Amino acid sequence: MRRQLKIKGTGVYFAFTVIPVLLYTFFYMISVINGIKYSFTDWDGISMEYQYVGFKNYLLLFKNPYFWNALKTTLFYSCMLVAGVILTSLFLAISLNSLKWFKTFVKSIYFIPAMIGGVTIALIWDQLFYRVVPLIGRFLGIEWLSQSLLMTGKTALPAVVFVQSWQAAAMPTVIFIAGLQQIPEEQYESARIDGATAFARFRYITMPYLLPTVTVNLVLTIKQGFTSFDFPYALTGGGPVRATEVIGILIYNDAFKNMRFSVANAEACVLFVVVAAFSLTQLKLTGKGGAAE
Amino acid sequence: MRKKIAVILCTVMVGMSFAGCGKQEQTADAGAQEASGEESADEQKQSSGEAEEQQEQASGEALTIEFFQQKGEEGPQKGYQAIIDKFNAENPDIVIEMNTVPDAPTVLTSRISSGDIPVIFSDFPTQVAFRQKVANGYIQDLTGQAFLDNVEASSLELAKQEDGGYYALSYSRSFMGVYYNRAIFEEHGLDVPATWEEFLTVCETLQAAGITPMGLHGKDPGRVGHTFQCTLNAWAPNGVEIIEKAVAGETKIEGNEEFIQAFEKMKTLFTYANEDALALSDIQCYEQFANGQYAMCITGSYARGTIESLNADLDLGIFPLPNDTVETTRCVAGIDAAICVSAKASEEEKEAAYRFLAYLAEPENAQLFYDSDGAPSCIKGVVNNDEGIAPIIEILNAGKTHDWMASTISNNVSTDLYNVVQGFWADQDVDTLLKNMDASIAVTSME
Repeated sequence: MRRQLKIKGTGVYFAFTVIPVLLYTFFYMISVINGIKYSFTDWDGISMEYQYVGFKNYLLLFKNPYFWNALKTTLFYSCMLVAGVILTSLFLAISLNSLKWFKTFVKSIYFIPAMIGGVTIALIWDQLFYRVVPLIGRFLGIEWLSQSLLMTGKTALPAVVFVQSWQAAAMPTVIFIAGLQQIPEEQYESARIDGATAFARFRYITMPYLLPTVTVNLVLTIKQGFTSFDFPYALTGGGPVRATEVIGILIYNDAFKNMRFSVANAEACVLFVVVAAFSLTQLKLTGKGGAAE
Repeated sequence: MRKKIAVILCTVMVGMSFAGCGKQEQTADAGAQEASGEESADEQKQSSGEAEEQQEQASGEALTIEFFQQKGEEGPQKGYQAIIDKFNAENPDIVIEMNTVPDAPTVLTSRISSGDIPVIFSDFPTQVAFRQKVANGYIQDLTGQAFLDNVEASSLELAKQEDGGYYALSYSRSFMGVYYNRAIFEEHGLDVPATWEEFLTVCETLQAAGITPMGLHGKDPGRVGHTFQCTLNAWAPNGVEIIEKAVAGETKIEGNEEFIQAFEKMKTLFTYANEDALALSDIQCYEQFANGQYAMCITGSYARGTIESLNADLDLGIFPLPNDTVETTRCVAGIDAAICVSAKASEEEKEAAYRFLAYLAEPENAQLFYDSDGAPSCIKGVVNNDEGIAPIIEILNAGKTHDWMASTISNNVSTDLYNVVQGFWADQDVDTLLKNMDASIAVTSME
């Protein structure tokens, strides 16, 4: 009787996985394979016919300075986003976790940005950058803050990253809090008795326990950084003068504005390889670190 | 037992998510009907009655035809809807449904490329992309249809394709011009400037009176591009042709006198414009203009409805951006809305579509559209009764126009030029700009 129940249980679990696998294959894998196929053609997005052109699109890309510029911008963008999001969310998680009262209430307040759509947040911040931030800048007498940050090439990228971090920090915060709650209280107690400082407790107890959580958050944020599109698109449209043109915007413009679908597909394939390489390296590195502890 | 319930719930959820896709159409339908009933209480009653009637017939044998139109603004949508309501009431065997989506050009492109072409849609027949669609056989040839006789000759010619055929019913014209606040002009005793010198005098007078003469918006490179096209055509009448030659590798823009002159004028214009142009989106700029913070604003025909909706009391006028003399002044103009029929539709659908197009082309219906859209009509017999836009209508009718860049230059080249010009808005260095334009063309015309 028990055995039967167990088999039945596995069957149910299996049934649960079948649905997403089917949906994933149908909606995702087929599109990805098609996308790779089109990157080797000269399809313009409208024509009924297309020819295979081998690696021509890729060669064109490597000769195109705007592609390299977009790749560089994306890399900067991701680095800034990772630093911003991980530090903010770690700080928030530790502070929230040590709250005594109103924990759930405060936590939900910090989670609100994650529940608002990216474009909505971008549009809100667009107004703030134009109307509110310059006022603060003028009041404080800071010149670069006295005009819209989205206006100049130097400040636009950090400004966009700031807005995305503002939203993207909510999710990792929750994951960090979950990670923090796994740490047994006794460890801290004994460390306190041994006279460990707050920093030492963080370095030798919190960090090692939190490392797997950091890995998860890093992978999520890196992926978010590399595939970012909505924030830069809604805030600056890639401008001024390509200063915030991340690869997502380049792909979109090439596909839908410039009618170069095949080139856009090649760009997307390169992006895929870059994200995969980053994630694998990073998993390897942090995976080792975690095991050694 | 619990697991069983979980499985059942899960299946239901998946099922519902699919059903959700099917429901959308109905909601859109309801939305369109809601929009149709806005004008007045009487009409609302009438139109809701009609809607019911139509739905009854829809369940019978009435043919439902999608009309995919690309205008996101309120004005043209209201205009189309008014005509559609009339048409549906008079033709019980056909139900025309307007479909408006955000970022319509992208949606239309992807729908066409996936074979899901709307039976009737609006498009831009002078653009390179339209010619591609025609070449691929997606758009029905309308040559010989009687309703084309209602179109003004010049607009009809503009929409003619390479094979000599007419694939679109040209409906309204687009242009770039200088919008101005007539109340402010009157207050300071200013007339519409006809030459560059007069234009500068207007700017100086306004500036001396403490009003920002010109509002520019440059956050979106695409909008910078429109202003760039407007100024280039006004001040360097051969500018677009020179770019064409540069793309073909026959000439360089660097050192070109016409370009230098045009951008020096642009630099002068910057001294009369808002300093935060690069921070301003189009809507923000229209708001400030509609509220009287700027006396003028350079933008396209597409902005009129939006600006009027921001301030209903605004006394709006539009004139072409003047060159040194009246004779050399030209204005960017093209076909704004042109209605096409899918070549892939069934014969029955095509027949219904032709009837709707013929209905659209009747002067009284075109007038209805014009009254709420405001862009100059391509249909004979439509009267302009707004004296504010008379100066721009005059130059359009005189044919002193130049088509948009997209009609001869590939988007790949022009979008990058927009980026380069945006850089000029920041550093205002003409030499660097011309060098960068050459460099940009070298990269984008590489293929």
